Amino acid sequence: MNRKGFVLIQEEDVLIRELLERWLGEAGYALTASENEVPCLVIVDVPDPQRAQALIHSLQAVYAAPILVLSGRFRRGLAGSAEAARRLGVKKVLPKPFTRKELLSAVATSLGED
Amino acid sequence: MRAVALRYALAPACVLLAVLVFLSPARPALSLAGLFVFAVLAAAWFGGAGPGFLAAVLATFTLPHLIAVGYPLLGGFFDVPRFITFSLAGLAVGGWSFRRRRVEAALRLSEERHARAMEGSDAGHWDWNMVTDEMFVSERAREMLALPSGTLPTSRTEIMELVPQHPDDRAGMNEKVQAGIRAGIHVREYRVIPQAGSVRWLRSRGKVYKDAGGAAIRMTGSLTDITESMEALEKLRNSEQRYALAMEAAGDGHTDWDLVSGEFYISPRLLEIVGHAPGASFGDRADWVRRFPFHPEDRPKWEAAIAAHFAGQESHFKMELRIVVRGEVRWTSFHFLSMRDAAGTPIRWTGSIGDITERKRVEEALRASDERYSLAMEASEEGYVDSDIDTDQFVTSERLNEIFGIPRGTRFADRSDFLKHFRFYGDDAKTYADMIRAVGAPGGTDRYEFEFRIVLRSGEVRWLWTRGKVTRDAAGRARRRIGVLADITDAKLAEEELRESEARFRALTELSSDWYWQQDENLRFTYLSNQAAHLTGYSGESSLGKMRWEIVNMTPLTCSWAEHQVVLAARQPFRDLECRRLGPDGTVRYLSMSGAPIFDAQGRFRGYRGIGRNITARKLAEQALHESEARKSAMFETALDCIISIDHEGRVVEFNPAAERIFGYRRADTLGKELAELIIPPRLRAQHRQGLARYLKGGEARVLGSRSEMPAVRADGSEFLVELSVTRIATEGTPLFTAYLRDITERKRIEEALRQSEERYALAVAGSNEGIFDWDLVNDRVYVSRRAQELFGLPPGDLWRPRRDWRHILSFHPDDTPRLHDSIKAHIEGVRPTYDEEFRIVMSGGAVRWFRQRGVALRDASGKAYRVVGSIGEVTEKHKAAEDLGSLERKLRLAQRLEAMGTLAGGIAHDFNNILGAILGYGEMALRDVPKASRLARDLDSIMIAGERGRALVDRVLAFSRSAVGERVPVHVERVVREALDLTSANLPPSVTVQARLRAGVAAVLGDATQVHQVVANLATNAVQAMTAGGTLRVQLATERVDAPRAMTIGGLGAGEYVVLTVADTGGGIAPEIVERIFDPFFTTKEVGTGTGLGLSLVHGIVSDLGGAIDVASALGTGSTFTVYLPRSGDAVQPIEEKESALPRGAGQRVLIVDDEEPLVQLATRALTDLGYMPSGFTSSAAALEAFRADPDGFDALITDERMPEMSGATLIREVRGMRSAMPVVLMSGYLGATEGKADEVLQKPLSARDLAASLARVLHLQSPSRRSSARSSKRRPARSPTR
Repeated sequence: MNRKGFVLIQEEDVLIRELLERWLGEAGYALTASENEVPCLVIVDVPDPQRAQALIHSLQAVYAAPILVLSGRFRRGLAGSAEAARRLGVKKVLPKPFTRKELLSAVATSLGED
Repeated sequence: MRAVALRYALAPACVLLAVLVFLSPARPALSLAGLFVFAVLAAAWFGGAGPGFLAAVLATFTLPHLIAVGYPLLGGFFDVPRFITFSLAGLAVGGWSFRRRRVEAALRLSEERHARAMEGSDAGHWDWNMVTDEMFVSERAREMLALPSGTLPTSRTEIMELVPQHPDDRAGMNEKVQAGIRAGIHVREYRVIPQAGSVRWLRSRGKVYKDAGGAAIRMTGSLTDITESMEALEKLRNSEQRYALAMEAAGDGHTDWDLVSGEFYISPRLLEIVGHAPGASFGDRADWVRRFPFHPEDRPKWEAAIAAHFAGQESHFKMELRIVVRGEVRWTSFHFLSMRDAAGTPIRWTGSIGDITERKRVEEALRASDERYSLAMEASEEGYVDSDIDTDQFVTSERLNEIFGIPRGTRFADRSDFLKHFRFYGDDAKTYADMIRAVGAPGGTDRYEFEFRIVLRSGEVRWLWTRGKVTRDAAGRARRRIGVLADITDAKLAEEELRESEARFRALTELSSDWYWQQDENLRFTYLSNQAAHLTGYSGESSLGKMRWEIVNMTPLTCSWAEHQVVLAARQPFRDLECRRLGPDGTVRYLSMSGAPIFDAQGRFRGYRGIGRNITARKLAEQALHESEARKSAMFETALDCIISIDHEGRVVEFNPAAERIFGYRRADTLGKELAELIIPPRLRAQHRQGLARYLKGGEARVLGSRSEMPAVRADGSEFLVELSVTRIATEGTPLFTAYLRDITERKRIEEALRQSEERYALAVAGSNEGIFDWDLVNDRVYVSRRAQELFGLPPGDLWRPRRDWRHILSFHPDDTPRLHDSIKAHIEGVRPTYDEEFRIVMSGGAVRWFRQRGVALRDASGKAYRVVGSIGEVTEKHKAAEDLGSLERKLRLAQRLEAMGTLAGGIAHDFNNILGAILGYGEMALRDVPKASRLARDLDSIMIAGERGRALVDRVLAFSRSAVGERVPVHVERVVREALDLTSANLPPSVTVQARLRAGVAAVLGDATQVHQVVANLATNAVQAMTAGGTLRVQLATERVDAPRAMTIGGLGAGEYVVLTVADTGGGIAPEIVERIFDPFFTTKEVGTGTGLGLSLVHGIVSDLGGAIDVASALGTGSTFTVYLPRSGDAVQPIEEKESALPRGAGQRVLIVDDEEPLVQLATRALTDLGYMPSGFTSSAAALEAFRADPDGFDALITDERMPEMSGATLIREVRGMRSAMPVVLMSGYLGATEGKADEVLQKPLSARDLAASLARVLHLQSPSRRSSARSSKRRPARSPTR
């Protein structure tokens, strides 16, 4: 399987992080950076939507890679929309919980692959 | 033709045969010519002359070829002698044989015909050879003669012995036969008895053949069965005989005229009847008619009737007319029958004429008798009735009918028929029925008499009197009732009038205010009318038989008894004898009597008669007048006020001591002087005189009858104020006036002081901001000052009103009235020293204002309060400020609490979603690795489903917390509200009606249409659920500008434009103590299981998210109103039509929709119908599957919910796909997970019609009119990878 690039995961919940790593790993993404490798995608969990904006800005300041926002605070019907993502300045927002397919689809969207 | 050909073919055949014989070995023994002769003979014998000759020609020509001929002709070719021989033989034999054969054929034919005729004929045949006595009998004849079967003897004598002939006929048989033989034709009719009891008539007819010597040798003939005709003949004979006998017996004459043949018949009896000699003959019918002894008057009648009858169509003719026989007039009855041909023309005229003279005579006698009787009855005033009780025959006389108002000539079937013609008055029907029953009863009365009333058809009431007699049989049973009946109405009326007249008189006497009395010639009372009792106090009876002076307690006043007795002795009338009488009760009455003597026709004195009158009242009035005069005089003398009377010239006629005292004049000096000169100041005197003069001329008087004040002058010239009232004394002639004058100097002074005081007070009150009240406890009237009324918001009106009216005008807050009542009561009773209360008044507009009322009671000497006076001021601001403060604090608390809860919910949601993410994620992976359909896989599935449910719950909690992310577009609020309302309305209980007034136009709110939808749906659902007993759901939408910031139940409003949604119900309302908690998550008043308790918190979350506010108004028992303010964001930009035109449309595809939530089914059904599909909606998955199974090809697509109670969407899809593997399926789901991949499309709830349309179009591979499909919540989910 081709190595697809390094995905940086910022998720405090251990179980969810492991799940992300597993699904992404299976899909061929690298989860640890080789030397000086910049991430192709940053996945970040937003525990508080009120501060989402600030968090994303700070990440965008550090990483050039697209950011996929995860949150257990978004309603599915609303947060899944492109509008919500646009308001946060990212390509995709993925509400928790999610299925493997949803995750991979969201990653693809964030990477502009679809 | 064939027969002829065959015959001719015989010729060559025979010749050829002869040649062959000649050429045979037998030749030497035979002659050729001889052979030919035989051949010719044979041909002629069998074929006739033609073939014989042909054979002769052939033989002649053949002969020379075989042998040498002796006389050759034509070169030896033709042998003439032989030809002649052959020809003659052939012709002769042929001619003879031909004739014989023809005769034989004819004979054969004839015999055949005869045999057939015999067979088919009904007649029998016989043939008797008289020489040998042999006889032939045909089968039919044998049958008729009833001969025994088997061989018959040949001899006729023996045969006839065997025939079972009637003995009478057998006896005469031989004679008849001999006679027949002599005559040449034998005819005999005789009877045969084939078996006992049946006789048949036979007719035998035979012809006799005689030999040349004239002896009869043979007789042959036929036999016919004539039984039928003999029987008919017999019957005819009997009938004729009977008829003749009947005619003779009836004594009627009979005539019969055949119009066609002209024959006519007249019976001997008829001749006898009409007086012709027996055996008289007539030329024709006309002769008969001419000689018919008609009565001269009846002939024309008969002629006319007969002419009419023949001209008409009737068959029967009946007439009774007179004839004159030997100078005697007799009555005859004609009874004829005319027979007509098809055209209706009479062809026969038959009938009888009878002598009915005797009958007529009896009838006439009867009629005369009846008539006589009837006339007698008619003449009588009384009606007559004859009722036969056995036959129920009921005969009435004409007079009786007349009495009962029944038309003349009416006959009655029976008594009940008669009773139908009138009705009884009142209860008289019973009287009548009782009477009739009594009469009809066995052994009842024989005679009866009673009166009763009836009501005629005209409505007139008649009095009837009836008397009758009943005939009874030996057993005492009534057989017949004969009665007379008379109209006694007049008598009754007269009687009644008399009675009435008497009653009238009695009533008049009774009503009169006087009493009547009568005395006999001894002057003793014989009559006293009833009034005497109460007018005198004694009953009239007590005086009867007494003379006036003997009556107790009677004292004459106008004269003594002795004087009165003189008048009476002179038989003079007297008037107004007044007496005093002490009543039994001790009261004194004054009585006045008048009387006049009565004389009879002979001029004899019969007594006195007159009236008495109670004059006590008059007497007492006279006395009272005397007393009044005396009292008036005393009053006049002692009055404190001046009393001065003047005449029409203004001169004093009376001047009382008070006037003397006040004016300083002596009475004697004033009398006769002009009043004006005495007491009126000089400057007013002219005015006084003018006024008096004007009044006397008929003008009006200013001073008269009223109270006025004016200055007066004393004798010393000093002026002072008097109060004056003048009355005119009612006297006849010139008027007198009396003036009452009072010195009011002191009173005026006090009044002025009071006025000034009050003025000061009024000024003070007017200047005050407070109102004044003054409650007059004695009259229960309350004064409410202008200012107070102003404060109460009343229009200017009466200041004083009964307290009741004020309480009606002012609507006190119901919570305050008990407190106010207690407080004022306590003060009035002296329990509390002051009255000081604050209360609320509900103003006309519904606003509530607070007032403070302070008052103090004024008490009389005994300490009893008689008046409460005080002030009223408004204190609304004070209360409002306090209320606002409390409300704001509460609202702030609520907002803070909800905020805190939102935050908490957000935190919980975050953690929970992480937990659920792990469960679902790892669960998914575990599921991927376990064998499909294993127990473990099913368990994992269950975990996944539970996880999904958890996720859905958290999703709703999130709705309550403010997420601050989401789509923000201008939402056309009115459209969304209308959609949501349609959805709600579709699921309403029948007892709830919806009133929607949506007036927001295109006003838009920045937000998410789904959110607005949820707000409306939740509020409406709550409202409907609050109205358990039915009611009205009112939904209003409007725009409103808010100018000043305002606090609401939840949140506050800044200035600006708002879209205002109001949802009101008429349910039970919300208790005040829980109003603040209704927005809390999981707070619910509904029964466990009926709601999530998240509805209102969801509304709150959304409204807060949209920057709006909610206001709640609720009253227990009347309902609740939720008002949602959403900040307006201009207008919705997208016209609705454009959006709708972009939706992909169907073309009659049949779509099966399954969802356990009925509103969703209805919404989807309607939306798809609008889009051109033919949807069938089901709320039961089992029923849907049933429908599909019934017609698997009848549906083009399936739209199903996932979670349903009976059968899950996944199962339904599997079942459907089992029947049609390529069935397009759209799955609607609130959840994610295991169902993916089973459907072509998955739609996330809540659905929009747009998403549904787009998905359906995709699964059906329809061409969408626009690629611009909704980007919001519809996502095409690729099928799950098969490697899971």
